[in-house]
Amino acid sequence: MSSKQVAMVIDLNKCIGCQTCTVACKTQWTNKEGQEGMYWNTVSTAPGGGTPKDWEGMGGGFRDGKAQAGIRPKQADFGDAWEFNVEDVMFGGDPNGTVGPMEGDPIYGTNWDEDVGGGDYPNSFFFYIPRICNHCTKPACMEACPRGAIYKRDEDGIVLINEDHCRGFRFCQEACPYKEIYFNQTTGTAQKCIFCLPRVEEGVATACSRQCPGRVRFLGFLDDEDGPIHKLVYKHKVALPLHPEYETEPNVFYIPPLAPPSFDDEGNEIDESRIPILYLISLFGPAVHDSLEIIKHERELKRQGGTSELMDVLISRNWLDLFGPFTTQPKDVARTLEGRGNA
Amino acid sequence: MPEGLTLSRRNFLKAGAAGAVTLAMPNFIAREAASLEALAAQTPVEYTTWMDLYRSQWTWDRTVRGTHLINCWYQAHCAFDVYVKDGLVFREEQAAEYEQIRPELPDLNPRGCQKGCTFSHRMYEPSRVTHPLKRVGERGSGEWERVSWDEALGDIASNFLDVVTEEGTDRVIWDLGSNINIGAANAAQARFAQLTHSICLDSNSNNGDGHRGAFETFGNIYIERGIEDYFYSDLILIWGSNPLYTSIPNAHFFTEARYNGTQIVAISPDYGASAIKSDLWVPVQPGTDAALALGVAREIVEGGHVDEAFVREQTDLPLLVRSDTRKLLTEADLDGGDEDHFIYLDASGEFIAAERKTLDLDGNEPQLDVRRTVTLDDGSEIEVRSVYSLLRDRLAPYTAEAVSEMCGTPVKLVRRLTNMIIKARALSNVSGSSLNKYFHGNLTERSMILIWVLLGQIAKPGSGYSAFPFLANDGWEDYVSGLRISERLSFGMELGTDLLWDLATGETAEMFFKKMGTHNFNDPGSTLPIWTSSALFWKVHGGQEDLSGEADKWIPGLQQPTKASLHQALENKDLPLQPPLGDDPRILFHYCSNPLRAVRGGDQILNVLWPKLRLSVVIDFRMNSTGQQADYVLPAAAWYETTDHKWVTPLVPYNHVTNQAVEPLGESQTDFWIITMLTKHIQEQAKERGLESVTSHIGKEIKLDQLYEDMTMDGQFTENDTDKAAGAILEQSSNLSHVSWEEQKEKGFARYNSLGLSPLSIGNAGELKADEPFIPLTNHTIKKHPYPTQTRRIQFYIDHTLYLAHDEHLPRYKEPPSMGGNYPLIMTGAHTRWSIHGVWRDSKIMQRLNRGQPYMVISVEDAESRGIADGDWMRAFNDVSEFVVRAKVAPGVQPGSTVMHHAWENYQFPGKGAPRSVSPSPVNPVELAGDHPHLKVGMLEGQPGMFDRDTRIEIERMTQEAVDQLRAG
Repeated sequence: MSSKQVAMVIDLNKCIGCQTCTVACKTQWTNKEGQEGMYWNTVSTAPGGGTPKDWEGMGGGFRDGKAQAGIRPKQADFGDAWEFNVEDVMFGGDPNGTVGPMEGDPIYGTNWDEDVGGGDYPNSFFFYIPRICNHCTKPACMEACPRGAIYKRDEDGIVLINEDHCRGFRFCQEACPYKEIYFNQTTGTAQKCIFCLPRVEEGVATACSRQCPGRVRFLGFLDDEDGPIHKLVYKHKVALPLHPEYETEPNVFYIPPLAPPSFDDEGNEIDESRIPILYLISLFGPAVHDSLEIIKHERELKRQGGTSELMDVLISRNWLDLFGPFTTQPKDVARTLEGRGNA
Repeated sequence: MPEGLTLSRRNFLKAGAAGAVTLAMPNFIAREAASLEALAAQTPVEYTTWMDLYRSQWTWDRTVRGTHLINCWYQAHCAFDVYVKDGLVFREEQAAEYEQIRPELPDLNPRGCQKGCTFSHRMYEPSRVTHPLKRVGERGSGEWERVSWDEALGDIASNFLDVVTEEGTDRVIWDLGSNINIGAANAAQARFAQLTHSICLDSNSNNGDGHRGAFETFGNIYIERGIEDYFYSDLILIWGSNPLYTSIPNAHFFTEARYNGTQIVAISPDYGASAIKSDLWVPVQPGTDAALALGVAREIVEGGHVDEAFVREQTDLPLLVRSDTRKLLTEADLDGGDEDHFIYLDASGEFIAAERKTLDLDGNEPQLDVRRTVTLDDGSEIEVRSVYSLLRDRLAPYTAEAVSEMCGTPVKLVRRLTNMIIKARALSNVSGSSLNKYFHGNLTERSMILIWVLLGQIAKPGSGYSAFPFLANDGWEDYVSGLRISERLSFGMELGTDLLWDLATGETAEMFFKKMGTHNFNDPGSTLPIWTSSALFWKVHGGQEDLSGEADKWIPGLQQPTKASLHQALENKDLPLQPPLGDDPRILFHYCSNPLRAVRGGDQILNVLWPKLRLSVVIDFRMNSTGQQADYVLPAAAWYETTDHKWVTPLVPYNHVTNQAVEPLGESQTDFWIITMLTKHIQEQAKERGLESVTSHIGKEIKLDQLYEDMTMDGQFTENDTDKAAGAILEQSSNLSHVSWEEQKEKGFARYNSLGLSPLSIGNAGELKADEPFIPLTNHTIKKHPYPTQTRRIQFYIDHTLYLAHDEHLPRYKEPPSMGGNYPLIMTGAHTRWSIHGVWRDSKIMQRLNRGQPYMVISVEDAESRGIADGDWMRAFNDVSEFVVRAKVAPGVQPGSTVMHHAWENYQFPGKGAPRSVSPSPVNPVELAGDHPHLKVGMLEGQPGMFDRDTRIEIERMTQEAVDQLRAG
């Protein structure tokens, strides 16, 4: 456990599944050789295969404090990074050809199940769930690394893989129950979300947070009582970790999703939540019930013309209020000083 | 000491120097820096090295403000910081500096989407064109030769001179895609067109975005609110739109309004991305929305919920209709007065000619429910009924039970929706353009508008019907006119005398400037470019009418073959077409346009029109489906390689500017450069040929030997002056000149301070203020300005012969015709999340985030009954054509329907066909009523549309082997 813990709350009611976070992360950190199929940030449609495919059945984490065996996901589970035959078709060689993945017709990808979900028409359901490394309080990956290359920073709780120490044993991939660790074949090291350390150390919000047009992500320190994280996680108790039963104590929390009611053939309401509550409990634990009730109650207060601190926090009329202490504008950070790469 | 530690220490010092000035960073950074040193003590060199790799990934030489000059319409636009390193753009990130306009409203930040956030990669992808390319093999052979700009422009200029001298200036066509920016790039194109009297295609009709129902009802399609206004809504209907895909930067206003207590209802066939954010999802069968709307309207009327004061004053509902002719009763009928004065029966029992100069009733109180006899001027007695009385009868059959039968929505859901709508304090809709793409989309939109109007839910905070968003500067017209910019006063000033005259006759500024727009089509010869409807152009010159003619058999109730109706309308000049029927186009400039991908039934235009062309010239930064068949592909600068600005919408009324961050890649050049240089080549060759001028098809002298001087205004704006021209346009604008060009470039955006006078904006008819969300139509509801319609009121009764003949004089529901034949599935469509038009369709980053290949979303039931599994290949076919696509099976799709997202390029489908191939896109005869007083063709409105949503298909599984064979050729 670190002295301080930085955390993120992701509001699933505001997430619009646009993947701007995914590409923000991609263009920021994982656009080098060996990282083609790597997404430190994903957004999946739930229910669905997710990334890697069916990761929730791959084990890892702890049960009753004991480390659980896990499966190491294969690249195919994440989906291949397709290359396309654009040049051949457009500029010669194969003008009647079909542009598509050169590896053959794909069978899976990181967002393969987009907008599919579950249930039966007209009572189908789905929602979007963005995921990054949870920067757990009890990181299973850290325990699993025989090199001691994974560490949790005391000052902010960010979990990092020291890529100079990593020798590519990949036990971390087995141990992480969220399967948030990728393997870079080019460097021979495990890589994962670094919580945008180069940004947050400059007071800039993570790329996935700051670039999110849905204003979905809240940032801050867990113990900052004035910050949005503390209010959502502890004060109002509406933000919940994903799969708390994995016992790694994630520091990414979720506002669970509302949905319109389902109905029968005559139009009678069947289930006011449409998304089966058992499914939500399987994701967020039994606390999800109370969380949804609180959100509905507070929203009704607003509808009746009342006030609600919770709703105001979730709305965050001033965008920068989402980010706790990380409100510096990135272009204002002096990244052109000598010693910073090429400048 | 390792390098990284030095850096950390500097951070520490920097933070220290800043002291506790900002709450944002100091403590955290100080702790972080200190701890790095502590950690370094344990694991010295290695630790800093690997992390510094990441740090060095986030360094840059400089940033400039930029945006994307593309028509992403509802979501336009977003200010970005563009990060440059080593002469290349390597990343962009939202600037996110928009200020809150009111404390109770969320701000606009950060604005951006996944497409915009990867343009830095898109611009360097393999489809980028970097050199002028000349076709050397057959069209479509893919055999290209790199040529110099001189050779390319010289050859195009030579062909141009041949065509304008031998056949006429109107044989040269500017096929304008929906990327027109109303900035410098597009101004060069339009000025060229104006100076040479070549023809500009208005692509809105071809996109099927015409919002004809709004046009029929308000006389105007330009109606949209500020996005923040949704926060004041009590009930938002997401109906015919999918803002989670098409309004990504705006979507938070819906989710946040919901937290603020607003209710959201989504009405759509599928339980899709926007429906999941609703409080009630109402499923409806595709193309039956009008029935649902009329069911609601019926209950409003029968339940006594009509806002009578509103409809008396603002609408045609009190106006009287002759039962004998079914025409509106006029003053001429009663006492030989004016034919355009329409009559209502006042509470006093007097017949009164409705005032045309104002909506103010001046103490009168028109009766709504009227049915009585009246004595005409000729002494005869006839029955007259008010529009309200006719409407009430019209609505009578739409009981909840009947509506449920028509649209498949359970009765109780129809009632629940109706009650929510009637009880709503402030009712709004989220506009989209999907319903326009149904054959009877106009009826649907008229029926929907009826709800808002009957309830008086118009032009109030959080309340109103949105149709077609557009907001543009009004200095552009000055620039593109044939004159020197110095010779013109501002657009409005020059027309001042005319304007006063028109106001005296009861025409508002709105009517006047919208009329200027119609002149561009109907009365060419004004000082503005000559426009023609692209849908009409492709139908007639592209042979698309033959394909749609075959569709006649699927449309019940046609009075005569649609092709005959169309040609009659052309002959009567009800619909202006340039060049006229029989005069073949010879040069097509595809300017950010891609008709071979976009035109429904587009295979036809390649077969019919292309053989007539001497040249097809594509100006674009990337190769596309049309480029593959072109004679020249001219490489344009991408949006981080030029300085310019683009139109937006009232939703986010900020002009957005892009600055040149890097030099254009390879030999690419700005559009402004390309078109200006073309005039130079034309002028030089004209001089060589001893050719001074030609007479244009409308009789104006086109001076070819001084074209470059005219184009550049005698060197004031040369090919290298994109930036200067972009600035000049804003300086000429009444609604954007309050912030200097330099300041706009620096900041990247500036809020409009009024709607301005452009025919593309003025119809919004309201006041654009700094500290409140824009509300459209207040000029009518508060200032009582009349609407630009036949009756000067919101008009539900259209007494044109074609409307009467097709029983569309009042809103009604008509079943969607079975376009394509008797097939079991209706292929609905939608915008994709993954591209704006085709521009990102083959982007590697985007492709990897969906399925990498075109797919059609089908229902679980239809998949199972046909033995189709998710990911299988399918053949989709009907009587018109077929195409091959992969299946995506989703339980949210309504059985009996499929969803085919748009904008896949032709070359992404195995074999020849694409989804547009199976859509015959027929002519709707009521759209030929261009002789109606308010249904004349105008800028982006009043033109025949394109329809693909009614298309019927069947699907069958294909084996992998069959698809591989197809691809092999």
